[in-house]
Amino acid sequence: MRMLILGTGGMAKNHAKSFAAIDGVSVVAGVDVDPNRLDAFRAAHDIPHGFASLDAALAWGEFDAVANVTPDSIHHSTSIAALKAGKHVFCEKPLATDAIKAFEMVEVAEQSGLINMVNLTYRNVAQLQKAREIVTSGQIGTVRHVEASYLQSWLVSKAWGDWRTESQWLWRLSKKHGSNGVLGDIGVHILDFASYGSGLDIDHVFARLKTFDKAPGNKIGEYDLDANDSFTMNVDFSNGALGVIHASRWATGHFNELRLRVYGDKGSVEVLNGKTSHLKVVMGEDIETATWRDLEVPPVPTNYQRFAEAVRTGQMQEPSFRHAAELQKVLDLALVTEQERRELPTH
Amino acid sequence: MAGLQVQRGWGKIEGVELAGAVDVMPANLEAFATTYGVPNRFGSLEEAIAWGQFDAATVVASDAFHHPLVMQLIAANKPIFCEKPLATNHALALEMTEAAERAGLVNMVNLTYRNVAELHKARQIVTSGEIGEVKHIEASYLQHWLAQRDFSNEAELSGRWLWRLSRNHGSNGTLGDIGIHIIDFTTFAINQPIVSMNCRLQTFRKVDGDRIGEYVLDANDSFIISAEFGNGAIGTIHSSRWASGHSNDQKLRIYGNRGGIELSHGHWGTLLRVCAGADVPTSTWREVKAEPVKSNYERFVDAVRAGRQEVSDTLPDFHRATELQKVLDLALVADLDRREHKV
Repeated sequence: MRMLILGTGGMAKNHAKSFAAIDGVSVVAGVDVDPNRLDAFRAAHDIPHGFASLDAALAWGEFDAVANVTPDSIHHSTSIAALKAGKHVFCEKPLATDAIKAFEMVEVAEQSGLINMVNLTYRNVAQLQKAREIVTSGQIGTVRHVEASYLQSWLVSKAWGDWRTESQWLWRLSKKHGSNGVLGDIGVHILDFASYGSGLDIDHVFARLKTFDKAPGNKIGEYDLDANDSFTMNVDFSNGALGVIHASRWATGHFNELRLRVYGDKGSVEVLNGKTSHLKVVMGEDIETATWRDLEVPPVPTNYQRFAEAVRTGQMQEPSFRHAAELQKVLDLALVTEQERRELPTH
Repeated sequence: MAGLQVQRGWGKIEGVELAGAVDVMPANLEAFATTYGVPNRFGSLEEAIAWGQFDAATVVASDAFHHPLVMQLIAANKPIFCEKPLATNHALALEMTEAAERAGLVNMVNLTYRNVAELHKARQIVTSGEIGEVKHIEASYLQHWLAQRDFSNEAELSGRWLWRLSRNHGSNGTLGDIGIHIIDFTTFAINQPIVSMNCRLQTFRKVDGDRIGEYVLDANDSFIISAEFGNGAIGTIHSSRWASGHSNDQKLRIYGNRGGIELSHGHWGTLLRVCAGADVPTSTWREVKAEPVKSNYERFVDAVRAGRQEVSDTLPDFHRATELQKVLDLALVADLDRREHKV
């Protein structure tokens, strides 16, 4: 498979390295509007071809698939253009800036018959994959109750840098700089954790978002600090199970930690992903004594590897554009429920 | 519950004497009075009040009877220790609170988890400002007994379990049974009230027709609450009786802008962990020990002896229980109209 890396900013190096490391995959070209950035990127990753636009690259055409690592708002137009040109697409998350655009992308992708996947990175967590396998195989019975949290503390701790002075953090606090806050940044990951891990779709959602005072006038230089810092979500799932999904950038004591707890009528699973990952389960006879056991889990293929496999075999793999669009719908609704303060159905 | 109160509380306090017992069921009354050596036995509260040789009363009747019994005791000028929930709705609870306060009587509600020393310690850490302003909270109360029951075995279910699943047998489900505890646990620890909330309740099918004998299985098994607190913090409070792997576990996670607190409590014990101060840059959590606290029973006895209510913002008095009742009432409303409500 010949890959083209579209957009050579921050995340692109992970794509270049990860795809280049896969047998049978070569990264043949990069695209960026910034020639200096493009040259540096091509040099760093030994990429033979470079283009200033996707159109130029498509006119050349000597590649099979695109890793779309452009800014969020560009995903829509570029992914559709690539698909229409017959190229498979591996798109960074979020798939689009809203669900309407996301479903337009789904439609084009599904009509094309091409491979379309979204890089929901936590799918690479083996413990999450194993948890889903345990749940969907029926080993914990019917799922009744779910809790999922994604906790960060970079608004408190300076371990990742000082958000007060560094633009890489400040833009994430400001709507007009393109941030949809913690919901837009990590909400999609924890929603995916909750619904993929529990094997269930979200039916209804009620969400609260909160932006706490952070600076005099909630402004630092050109940055209005108006994007949400924390959210809480009440959801119900397709089988009637209830769940809470929540996230914060103020969770002192947790740098970057995802937790999922899925309770069924025959057992339960807990996934913890921070510096290290853990999977704990209670099922079978152990439920009588509430004895939890740690499960060791072998690594799973990464999204990059699964995309390459999908292109090679012609068989779609998850997470698909459609799945990401369904998550985007929940994120969009969360903003509406914050305004209307009532629960809304997802379909 | 009456026996448990004697074992855990009254029986252990010097100078407290069980002078009399009341029950409408003669067999229950005899069994209880014999087990605990209670000399005077009454078939009704009226008879006991007419007799009058007692200083205070503990109300351990079914929830629906708390209101009439407490009102009678207030009229008889007796200090009252009442099981939770204080009443079956906010209006009744408020009436009881106002009457008790007007009469100047010692009044308390048995919010049992106030006996957990680490809960008081967590509150002290929050109110001292050590973790800064509280921003984000998660609280859960998880039980597994519904996952353990065999619903085809009516004999096993009857008595202890079945009434808890049925609204017409006086159960308000998980919300009424343990929701009140975790809502108290949370708002007590952070010293902030819930100011607005959304709630969903769920009752899962246990048997065909959702009925066993005279018991309609319609009480809620799980609830989820999304709440905003007095200082603007947001949080989630949730509970289920289907949580395999948790026999009876409370977990509270409180995050402030200078530190975090994580408190777990269950039959296995209690663990209070804190990350604050110099530990924040490394996200290091440390266990914190708590000094023992007086139990609800001891505080009630102290207050009766002093002849007046203890002046304290940590007392689980009728007033506090009435605030909690308001939240429980609104949870039911929110589940019906699927909206957020101001408390």
